Amino acid sequence: MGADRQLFTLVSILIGLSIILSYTLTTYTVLLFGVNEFHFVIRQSIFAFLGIGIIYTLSQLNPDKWLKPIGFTLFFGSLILMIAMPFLPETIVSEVGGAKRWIKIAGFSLAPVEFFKVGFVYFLAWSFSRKLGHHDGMGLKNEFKRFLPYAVIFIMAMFIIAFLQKDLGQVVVLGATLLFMLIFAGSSFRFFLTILGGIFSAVVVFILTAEHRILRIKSWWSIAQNSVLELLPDAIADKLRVPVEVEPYQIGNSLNAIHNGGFFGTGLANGTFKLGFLSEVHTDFVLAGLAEEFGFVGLLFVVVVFMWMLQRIFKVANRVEDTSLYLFSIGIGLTLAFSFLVNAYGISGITPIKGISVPFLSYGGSAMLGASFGVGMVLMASKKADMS
Amino acid sequence: MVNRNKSKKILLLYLLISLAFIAFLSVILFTVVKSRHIPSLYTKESSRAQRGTVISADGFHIATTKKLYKAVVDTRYIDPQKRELFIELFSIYSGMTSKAIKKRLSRRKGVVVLSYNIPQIQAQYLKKLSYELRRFKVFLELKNPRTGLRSIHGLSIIESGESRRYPYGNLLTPIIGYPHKVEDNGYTAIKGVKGLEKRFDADLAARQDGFSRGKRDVNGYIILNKESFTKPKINGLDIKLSIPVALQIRIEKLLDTMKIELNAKEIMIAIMDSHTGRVYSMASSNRYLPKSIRKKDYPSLNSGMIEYSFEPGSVLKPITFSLLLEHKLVNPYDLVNGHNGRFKMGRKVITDEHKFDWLSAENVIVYSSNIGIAQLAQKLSGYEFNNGLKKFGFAQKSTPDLIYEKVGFIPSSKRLENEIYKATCAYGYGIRSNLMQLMRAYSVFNNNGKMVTPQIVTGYIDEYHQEKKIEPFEEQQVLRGATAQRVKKILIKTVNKGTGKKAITPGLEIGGKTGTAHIVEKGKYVRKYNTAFIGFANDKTHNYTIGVIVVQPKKSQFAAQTAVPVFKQAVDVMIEEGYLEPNIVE
Repeated sequence: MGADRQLFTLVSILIGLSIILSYTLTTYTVLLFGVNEFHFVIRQSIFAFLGIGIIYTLSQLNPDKWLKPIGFTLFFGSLILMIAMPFLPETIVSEVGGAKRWIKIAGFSLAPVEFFKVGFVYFLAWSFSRKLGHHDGMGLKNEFKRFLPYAVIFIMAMFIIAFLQKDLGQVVVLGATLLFMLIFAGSSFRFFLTILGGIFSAVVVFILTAEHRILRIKSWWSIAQNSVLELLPDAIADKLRVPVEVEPYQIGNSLNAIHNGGFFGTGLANGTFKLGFLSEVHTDFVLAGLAEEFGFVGLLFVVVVFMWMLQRIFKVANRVEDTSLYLFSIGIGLTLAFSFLVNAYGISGITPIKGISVPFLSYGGSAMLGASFGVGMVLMASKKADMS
Repeated sequence: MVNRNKSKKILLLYLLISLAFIAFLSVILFTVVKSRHIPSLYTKESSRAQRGTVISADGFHIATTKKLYKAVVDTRYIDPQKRELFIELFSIYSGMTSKAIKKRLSRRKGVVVLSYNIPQIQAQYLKKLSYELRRFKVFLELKNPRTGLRSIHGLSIIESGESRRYPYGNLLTPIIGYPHKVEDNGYTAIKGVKGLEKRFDADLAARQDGFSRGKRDVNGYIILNKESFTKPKINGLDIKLSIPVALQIRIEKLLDTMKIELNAKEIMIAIMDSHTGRVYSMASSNRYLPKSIRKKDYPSLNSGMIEYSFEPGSVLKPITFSLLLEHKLVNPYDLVNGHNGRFKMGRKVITDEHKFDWLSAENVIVYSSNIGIAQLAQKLSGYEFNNGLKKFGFAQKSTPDLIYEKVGFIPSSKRLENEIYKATCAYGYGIRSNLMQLMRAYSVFNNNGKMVTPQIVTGYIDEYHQEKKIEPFEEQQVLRGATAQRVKKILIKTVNKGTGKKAITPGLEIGGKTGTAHIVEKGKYVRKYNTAFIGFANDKTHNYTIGVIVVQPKKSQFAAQTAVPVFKQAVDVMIEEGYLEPNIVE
């Protein structure tokens, strides 16, 4: 059986779109940075072709032979890199805003966490498929015992990502992926809820201990309240209403861009808010830039393509016999979906913003290549599934 | 088994994710549909067009316009922690001392003008600085209490007006005139008040202010695309003069020296090409600085060339004589009774400086005999005399290039039937004219009977440095060529043998007529004089009409000792500057 052609086509469409976006959305950025007009589009094109190349190559390989070594290489390779990063010299690891996220290799900056995500998902899928069976009457305590080693690894990884790399968005995505994979690996729903509750309280503590995080929540609520409080009775709504500071600059302009785009957009290259209003329009705010120039219709198209892509990934999960392949496909689908959603909710003001990129669409090499590895490996797995 | 209910679980998960995506799309739809106050997407920009420049024949910019800018900043938006940085950088870019900037900034809270008179180059630097300051986040984002919107107000560099510059000080005043400032919406514009600045105000004035409108980026720069609208800036035209600075400066210096030497109130001179009317120099000893006019300059503000109308005296005699020749009423060799210097005509006694018993009609001019010309003029009818003077351009505007001309007057035909009026008019009394009118009239003798019109502005230069030349004004035939030639010969003789001897210059053809005229004050002739010498200087290829007036010289009342030396020195200057080449045969 061959690899799934539909999935490959859909991903290629998204990647192709990202090239267009990396050109049209960077008109202001290139002036600001004083770089060539094609600076971003050339790089994104290289990433795109590399990405598609990776996907194609992986899809041609035999999953029984190749999936495991690749998965583990990604997992341990990126884990070692992430652990080593705080100790590497400044010349190799560049610090941006107190966060050490990138390693410079041969002129390119690489973010190991993007590859770690894929490796982590593979590692979970591999070990869950071996260790976790069904939870048939194990009891919560035993389930916890069984889960403990993963929790340790997870917390370790999260510690690195959250504190050393200050990348909370990735933690959220990985955490959510882990939880859902647990369910699919056969843990009880009760266990799932308990962990969710534990995480929720941890998050609350985490947020309350840092003032700037409270501010972030507050500023988020000041926007979100308008939508939420309308649904509640006035008496309750009034108590919950926070005196409105004006919405934060970035989200405000993101919403401006979406509003300005309307249903059909301003047309390619005609956007205004990409011109310096949205400072990271080609990376974190790519969806806002897309919404401005291609309108609601353009965004709908992207969501449909993305959902279709997820559908194919889940279909592979559904159709493969091998448990680890099944869990791996589910995990990749989940990381992609969560990444998209965390970003989408951020730019539309539903949740506090997290600096996380949109898979395949945002400008950036590491995210593109990392996600390509993920999808390529799913395609490799799809050869063992009957997709007809 | 892990895979139990696998399909159901996956479907459930997919539905859950779909729901999350639908929620996202709903919020987007909500944002699209709901009315929202978004910042203005468009901006406009205007830049004022500038007044044109006055350029000399040799390419010097005599009057130019400099644009001035002001730097405005709202102190409330400056980040207190970066205030020092702002002051330091502004000081470097603007050249102001940081102390002065601090003082300005602390004057009040809110909008502060740091400087009003920033020249263009500095303004460009400061605009760049303004952009850099934004990048360094020197300005804070503040909430407007009225609208509730957040905004940043940075450093703005705004055109505040223009200033007229005269790099050569009092050069060419009062001909060039002076401007004054006009406030227009907080912009200081310039308008001509006198002289060329006024006469050519419409041409010099800025044509069209530049204007652009279009989409903007965050800094307010206009995006120039098919949607944007741009109206180009069209500056005023430059005007090119026929007068070269190199000659004008030397002539003016000459007048300054002579004014002191002759102890005169004012000396004026004009040098004009006799064939084309192009003026090469037009100078007065009484000049002023157009940018700082003082009270004592007030009498000099008017251009004596055209605004000082006086009784010309003897310089009119050749004109009377040419009319007699033209009507064949006299032969140069006719003998005229000189009455020994004293002649009674009716109740009026006419006297001569040089006493003659009998003299030829020609010598009436050469030796400037009032008695002679008074008798000869009687042969002209009143109409012939009046019409002749009109043809010579008297009582009419001499040139369209200068304004506020006082045209003077000539007696009517009827009055000129009167013997005494005819007599006095013949030697230049009871008639008023200005220097330019005399220059014009005398060009006839040096141009085969054709009269030219003085021209000062020879072309317009537009934005793209394209020069539109102005052709010389059309000539008018006033005398037959033969008549003009005859008078010319007499004028040369006047210089060689008569009252203009001091003007003799070897190798050049010089002719002219002296004149002294009493000044009338309060209806009476007083013991004050104007002396004049109007004539020409020619070499093989050039023909110039040159006129000199010395107003109230105290040193001497004779033109031969006042106006003629000025004429002679001007000719010498012209030789040195290469405008005349004496043909000296060794």
